[in-house]
Amino acid sequence: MIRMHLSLMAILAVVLALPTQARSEPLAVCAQCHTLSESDVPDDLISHRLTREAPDLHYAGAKFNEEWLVHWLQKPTRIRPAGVFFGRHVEASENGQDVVATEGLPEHPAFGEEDARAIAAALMQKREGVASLIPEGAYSGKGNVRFGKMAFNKLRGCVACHENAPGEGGVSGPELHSASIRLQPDFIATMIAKPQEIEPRSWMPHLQMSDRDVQNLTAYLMSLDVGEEQ
Amino acid sequence: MMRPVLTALTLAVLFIPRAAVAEPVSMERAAELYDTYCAQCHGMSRNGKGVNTTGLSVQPRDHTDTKAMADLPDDQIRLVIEEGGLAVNKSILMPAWGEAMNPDEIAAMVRYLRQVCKCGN
Repeated sequence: MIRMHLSLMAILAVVLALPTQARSEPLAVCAQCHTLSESDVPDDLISHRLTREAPDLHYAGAKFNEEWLVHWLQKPTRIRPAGVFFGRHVEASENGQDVVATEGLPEHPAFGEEDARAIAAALMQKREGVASLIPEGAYSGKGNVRFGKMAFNKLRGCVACHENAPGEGGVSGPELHSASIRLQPDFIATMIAKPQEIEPRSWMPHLQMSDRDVQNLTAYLMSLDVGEEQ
Repeated sequence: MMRPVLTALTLAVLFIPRAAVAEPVSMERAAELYDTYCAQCHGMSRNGKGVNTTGLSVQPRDHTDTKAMADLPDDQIRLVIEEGGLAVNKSILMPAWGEAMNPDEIAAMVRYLRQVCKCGN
């Protein structure tokens, strides 16, 4: 309960600080919840992942599409259905099944267009550390969508942790039905191929995939219809 | 002759970098590792009913099941954590965690699971 109050107070503080701060120091408001520099990531990554309020953004420029950021910052939606760390937002139902306690999930503040553009532009400059591990051309553009779909849903089990349509799939990882507009394809391919190098201590497993599997999965994610929700 | 050698050895031991000395992985850290990697499917209650499991074709193992867990040798538990379900002819939905956890952490996880199942051997 105390944690929830603190989260709400932090969000309130962010909202109150929004209009003027976002344009003069675009990332100052983000820094209240996100880690923006690789040097600020604690050595104990397990504890960091279990307790952080929001995803790290020190390599946002190698991960996100700028236009998506501009749009999302004005109309933020939940990308991680169970929060940034699922363990803090699940509760056991009567039969012992873990379910997401949605009322405890914090909301991301919304920004006006001018502030959203300033923040997105500043985030795209963030290419620290792992950015060098994401080579241009990591996604060849030649993957097979049908094989990728089969790998996602059955052969590699990605759907166990990720949604490939709203409300369909696992919830401990970020939704991937919005991946094609949200993420850069080279980031997607590299994250699939070596998640522990991009996000050390991530709970995304390293599945030792062939490059063909990586390309097919990336092609499938890039093909997903994001509909009108974004 | 012996004394300089001993002195050198003592100094060498004193100045071994901290990272080179393997610290034992505590059960508290093993529980955190479980929360990080295992609980998404095996459940925060360790009962196999994690938040991702409602749509899974194969349900994860209940680690509180004393009898079923007691039938698994330590080596098999270590292998399935390190290399995934396929390594022991089980579901591919159990991924390999050998890149996420080091051998000492996986060994600690095996000990931790023996605590969870109350089936220590």
